[in-house]
Amino acid sequence: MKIAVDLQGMQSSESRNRGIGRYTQAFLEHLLPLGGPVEYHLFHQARLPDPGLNLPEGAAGRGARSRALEFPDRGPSLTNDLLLKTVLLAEKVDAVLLPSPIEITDAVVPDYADFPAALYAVFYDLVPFVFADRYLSDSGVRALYTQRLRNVRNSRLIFAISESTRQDAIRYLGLAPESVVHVGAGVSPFFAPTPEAQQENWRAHFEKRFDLTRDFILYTGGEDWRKNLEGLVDAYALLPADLRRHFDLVIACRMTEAGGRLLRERLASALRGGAGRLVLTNYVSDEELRALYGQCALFVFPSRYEGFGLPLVEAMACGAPVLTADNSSLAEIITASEQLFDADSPDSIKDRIETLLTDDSLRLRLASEAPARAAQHSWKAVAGRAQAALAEDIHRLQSLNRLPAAGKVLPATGSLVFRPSKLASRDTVSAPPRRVAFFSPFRPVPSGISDYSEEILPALGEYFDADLYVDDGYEPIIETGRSLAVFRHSRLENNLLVRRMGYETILYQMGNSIYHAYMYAALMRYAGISIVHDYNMSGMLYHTARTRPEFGISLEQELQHAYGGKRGTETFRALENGSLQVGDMPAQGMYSNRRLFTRSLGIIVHNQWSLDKALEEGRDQDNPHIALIPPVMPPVSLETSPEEIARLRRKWGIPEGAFVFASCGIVAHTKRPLPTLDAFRVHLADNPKAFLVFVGSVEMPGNFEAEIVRRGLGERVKISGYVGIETFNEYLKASDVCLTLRYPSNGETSGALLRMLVHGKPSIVSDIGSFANFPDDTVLKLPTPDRCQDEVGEIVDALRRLAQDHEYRGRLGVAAAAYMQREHSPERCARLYRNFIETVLRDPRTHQRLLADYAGRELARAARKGGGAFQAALSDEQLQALLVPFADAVTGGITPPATVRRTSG
Amino acid sequence: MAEETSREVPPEESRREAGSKDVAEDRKTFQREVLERIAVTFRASQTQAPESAYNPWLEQRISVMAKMARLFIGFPMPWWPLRSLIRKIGRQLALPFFNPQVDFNLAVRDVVLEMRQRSEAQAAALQEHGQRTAHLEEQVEALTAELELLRDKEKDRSAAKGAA
Repeated sequence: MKIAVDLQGMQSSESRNRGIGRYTQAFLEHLLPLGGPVEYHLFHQARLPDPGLNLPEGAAGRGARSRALEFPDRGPSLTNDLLLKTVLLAEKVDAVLLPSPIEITDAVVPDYADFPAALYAVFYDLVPFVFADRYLSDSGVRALYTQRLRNVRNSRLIFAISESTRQDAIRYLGLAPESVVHVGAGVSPFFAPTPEAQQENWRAHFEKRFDLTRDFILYTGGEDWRKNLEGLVDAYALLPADLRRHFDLVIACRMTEAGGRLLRERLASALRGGAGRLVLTNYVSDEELRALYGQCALFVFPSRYEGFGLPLVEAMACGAPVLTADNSSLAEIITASEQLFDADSPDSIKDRIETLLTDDSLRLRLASEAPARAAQHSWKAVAGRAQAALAEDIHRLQSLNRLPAAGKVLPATGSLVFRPSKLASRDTVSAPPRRVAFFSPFRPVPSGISDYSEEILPALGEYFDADLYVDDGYEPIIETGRSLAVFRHSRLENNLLVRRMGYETILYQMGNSIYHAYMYAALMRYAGISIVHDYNMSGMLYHTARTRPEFGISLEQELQHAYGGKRGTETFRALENGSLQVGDMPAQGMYSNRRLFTRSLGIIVHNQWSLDKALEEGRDQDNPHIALIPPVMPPVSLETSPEEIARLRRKWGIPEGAFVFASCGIVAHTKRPLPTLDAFRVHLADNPKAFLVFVGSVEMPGNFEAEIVRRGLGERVKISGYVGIETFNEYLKASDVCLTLRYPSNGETSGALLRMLVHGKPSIVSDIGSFANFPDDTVLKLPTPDRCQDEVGEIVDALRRLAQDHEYRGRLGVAAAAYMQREHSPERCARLYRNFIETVLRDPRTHQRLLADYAGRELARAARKGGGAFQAALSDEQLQALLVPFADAVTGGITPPATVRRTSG
Repeated sequence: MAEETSREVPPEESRREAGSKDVAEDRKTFQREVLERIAVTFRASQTQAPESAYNPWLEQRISVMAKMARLFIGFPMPWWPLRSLIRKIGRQLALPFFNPQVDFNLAVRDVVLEMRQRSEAQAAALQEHGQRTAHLEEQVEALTAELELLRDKEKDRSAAKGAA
């Protein structure tokens, strides 16, 4: 298990020289060498003073060397936060340990709420929270504090430095008691009684430096309100004059000038010229402090609230008799009532001081017992308790199988959006279902992809729970036999970020029509696996840019991406001024699909033609995962009785006893309807029983019906117009031979052809694009017009052959049905989907793509929130500069992938 | 299976042959690709992101509440009696700066939306097949029968207890 350890608590201006910094150092110096099932990865901020962690070499795996991180901004900023998270994600850490989670001024402590790793934190106290009116009056500080507190709340384990802090965390933060562990705090062996031989030297030193000639009462700590220095000064002033004459009050800590003045004035006004002296040492070295502890008559620690109270234990370790307040953690360290007072009552403080200063035997007894009592607080014990809790928690995680193997891919559920993984929650027990987001048009959207999706979904259900994401503006009709959640595409963001619906991946069913614009836009932000139903995307892009401006897709930019800057711009201009028609682009070898390859995690194509084309165009350099998965086609019953056929023919107005040819699919010029008509007219002379049905809507300029009449075919040719799948299938059943011709081709897969074949129909197709990839024994292939002298003659021959050769017809039909059953069954296709998805998600490059997208999206979110550098619209150069550290983070320490060329399998 | 995977994921061969780019150049290219990718995502997110009121603090609260609310989804009873119960739990769990009322409402809105969407999809499918009513009636019948059975058992048990 990789745990990232944040060392900034040892560097920041607010903690470096205070208890938290010292605690962090001692805690880590004792914890990290213990090792255990953990590999620690330390990091610190390059811009701040060196953390100065002193670890034996190899103590913590790689950890003995801390990684210095350069952040673009000074102090807390959204950019810094995001960069740190990106670095940690790139390192694939399983957990983050925050030894100082509440850093406000110059450390970078992101909100880890949406971070897919477990969080562990050391927790010191809730002082600002408990005394919010004093410490959180500034709204900026309050916001930061609240955010930092969230990290504590979101931690799987919180190491509380005292039982009092633990109870506060449970009470105020609503944390589960078992998630807060009291590990305590220790005292450094540095703090020990001053040897007799050195006493005199120190006395002379203090006399010289602080004019300290009498015995003294000592305090050290901070000067903020909760430390209760006023209470101490007031209590001192209340002491009998005789005691004041013998004992000075020494306050040994860094103090502001104003604070010092206030204390002096306070004492002067209380004493009204009476005896007594206040010594403010300001900063003292550790050695001086140790000697002060050792020489004081009494150490008083009057805080109103403490997380632990380290100075108290240090003083005891040096053999000082101590008094402290009866509150918070202080009452845990000192339990004897004779040493406790009420912090809010100067009289109570004064009484205890007076008793101790006048009772020599008591004072000596406390002094002699103190070192032994301080020794109970050892760092070794602290680290041992923390290590035990950590090991237990890791064991729990591992037994839940929630840990990814170190160094491999992110947990599958977190791979997409980096939501808080299940690691972050203590109460998850069962493995989550594998969910995918499924973007597709559905009926009544008139697209073959609507039908495709409805047919693949039930089979995919074997492996995945799919949530469907549809376009606005229509009510989808979905019959999959399962209850599936359907969302508008705009809900994706909300579902991912707010509702934490993690998806293993997103499947984009991409086609070349405006119905796919919304998913193209989504792909620009959320990488997923694209199923490319049409190799050509020009039409979709063209119409998206014109009719769906809300998606912000720039046609020019997309063309530039596809063809390079110059050619892209030229193509764009040609489309704008009408010198190029978008429909003619494929004929010029322009498919405008590069973005799909660069943005997607993987690409599924449906036919060999598309795969070959992609390889030919070098798209494999844009995407390492391109797979051919045949389009799905559920099997149908091949048994149709003569009575049923007769009924269907009556139903659809086909003459009884006719030999029926069905030309299937939308009637457009590329489907060669006019040559088909001409050929049919010739064939009719041989075969007067022949009848031709065009099954599909007419979408071509001119009057197609008039063309039929002009050829005198009004009685023997019918156009069905648009039909649903059921009617389409009925026409297929009613027909003897089917045709679907194509020229030119964009490599598209014809759903109509697949249906013809799955029905076991002898079929005539053009020898082009994806049609050419069907085995020769399953379809009768015709040369395209560019490769034959007489297109009509070729069709005539084919019609005649199939009409006359009953045996060949039967052979073709049987082979077609068997081929479809073998290659296109939903079960097989779904299995191939699963295999491919797993392959893609296992690839470290997938992780990098997801990480890059994460960084891009989060930066944009930061920009929306108005994070510093983003206030103004950024130029491309500025943006580049901003993104460089992120690109470094994503690729950092990772060998760049070898680009590979695929060969077709 | 081996045959199938090899078809989808054709064997790879490294194009890094003699004379091709060296590792440093590959790294540079790779870095540039990543940079471009981040920039594209960034720009796309700026231009088309739905301006959700994304507020992590609020949203975390909602998600906590939504989790609780989801616990009750399976219960075959209307929402409203559970409302006050959930709200009470919400208050119990309430953290500093929490507003249980607001959180609850947002969470419920979220969950109800999801439920509605799920049930709509289900209802549409059922209706299409003309099975909805029959199915519901069957369910009601089965539940009633089960309930009767339970009641009888309970009666028998009480009677037995009384006799004892």
